[in-house]
Amino acid sequence: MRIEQGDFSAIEETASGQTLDEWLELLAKPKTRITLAYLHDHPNATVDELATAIAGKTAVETGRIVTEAEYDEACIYLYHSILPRLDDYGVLEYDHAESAVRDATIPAAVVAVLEIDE
Amino acid sequence: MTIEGLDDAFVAVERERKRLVVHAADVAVADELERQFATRNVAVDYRRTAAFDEGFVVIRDADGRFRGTLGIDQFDTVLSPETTPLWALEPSETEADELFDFLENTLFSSYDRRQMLAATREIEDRAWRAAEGHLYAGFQRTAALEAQREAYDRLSARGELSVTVFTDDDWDKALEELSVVSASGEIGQFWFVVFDGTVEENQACALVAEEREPGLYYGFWTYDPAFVGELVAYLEDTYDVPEA
Repeated sequence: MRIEQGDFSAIEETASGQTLDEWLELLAKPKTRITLAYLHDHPNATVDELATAIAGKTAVETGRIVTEAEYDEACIYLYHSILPRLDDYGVLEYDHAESAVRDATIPAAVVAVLEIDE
Repeated sequence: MTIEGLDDAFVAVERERKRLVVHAADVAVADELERQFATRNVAVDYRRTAAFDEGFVVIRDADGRFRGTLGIDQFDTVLSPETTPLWALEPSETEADELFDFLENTLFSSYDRRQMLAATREIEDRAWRAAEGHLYAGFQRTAALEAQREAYDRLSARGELSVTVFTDDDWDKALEELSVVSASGEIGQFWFVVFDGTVEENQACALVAEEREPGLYYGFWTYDPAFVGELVAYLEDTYDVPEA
C-alpha cells in the first residue's frame, strides 16, 4: 500500500468535509491504512479483529513474530485514535460500548489510494 | 495445580488447548495447516482476509486470548520438520524463544524414536551448556540407560550439574556421580527429560511422552518454568531422589 502522487485530489471530494491535508495525515499512518483495508473487506468488525489484522500485517511486513504486547498497543491505538477519527470522518460508526465498528464504507477514492485488490 | 502422576501432566496440557486462526485469502492454506496440526492439541480455524497479499497465522489460547502472530511463509519455514525442527532452532537465529512461548504445552502424537531423540538432545544440550541445575531423565528399560550411559556419565560430571536417571528395572551397577532411581509402574511407560534450568538463566524445559504404540509416542514439551517446577516437585516427592 503506497500513496501515489496524483491520486490525492479525489479524496478531497469525498463528502466527509475533511481537507486533503487531514486525509493525507490520516493515511500516512500504517496502522490506519491496515485498518481501512481490513474494513473494506469486513465492514462490521470488532476491535479485536482490527488489532489482530494490524498485528498480523505487521508480522508479515517485518518477517518477525508480533506478540501480545504489540497487539495490546494496537487495541489502545484503535480505541483512542484511529476509530474515533474515522467515525468523525464519516467512514464508519464506532460503538464504544461494544468495541465494534458497524457499516464501514471506505470512500472509493481512499480505496484507490490504498491500492486494495478488489 | 499439583501433578499426581505423569499422565496427570497430560491433562494439564490438554486443558491449555490452543487455537490457530489462519488469516488468508484462500482457504487452502488453512486446510494444509489443519492437516499438519491434526495430531496435535491445536484447533485450526480459517478467517478469510482478502485485503492483504500475504496471509498470517494467529495463535490464541483456550480462552480466545491473543498470544502472537506471524506470517504464513515464516510459520511454514519454522514448522517444517524436513528443514528445521522447532526444537533445534537457535534462539539467536530466529525468535525461537517466542515461538516456543506460544507453541509450548502443545501435545504431539506419533513421534517416532528419531524425533523423540532429537527433542531429548535439545534438553540435554541445554543442561550441558548451563553446567548447573538438575537434570532428570526417565529410561523405560535399563537397556536404554546402558545405551546412553556414556553420555549421562559425561553430563553428571559436567560442572555443578546434578543428574538423576529413573529406570523401570533394578539397577545394581555402581556409578560415580550419576544417581539412579529404580521404580516400577509409570517409569516403564514414559519417556521423560526434565531440566530445572538455573537460577540466573531461565532455561527450564521438559519433555514428557508416553509410548502408546510400540515406537510411537504421545506427549508434550514445555518451556514454562512453573510447569517444569511442578514436574520436578512431583518426581522428587514421589521417588526417592538422592540429595544433590
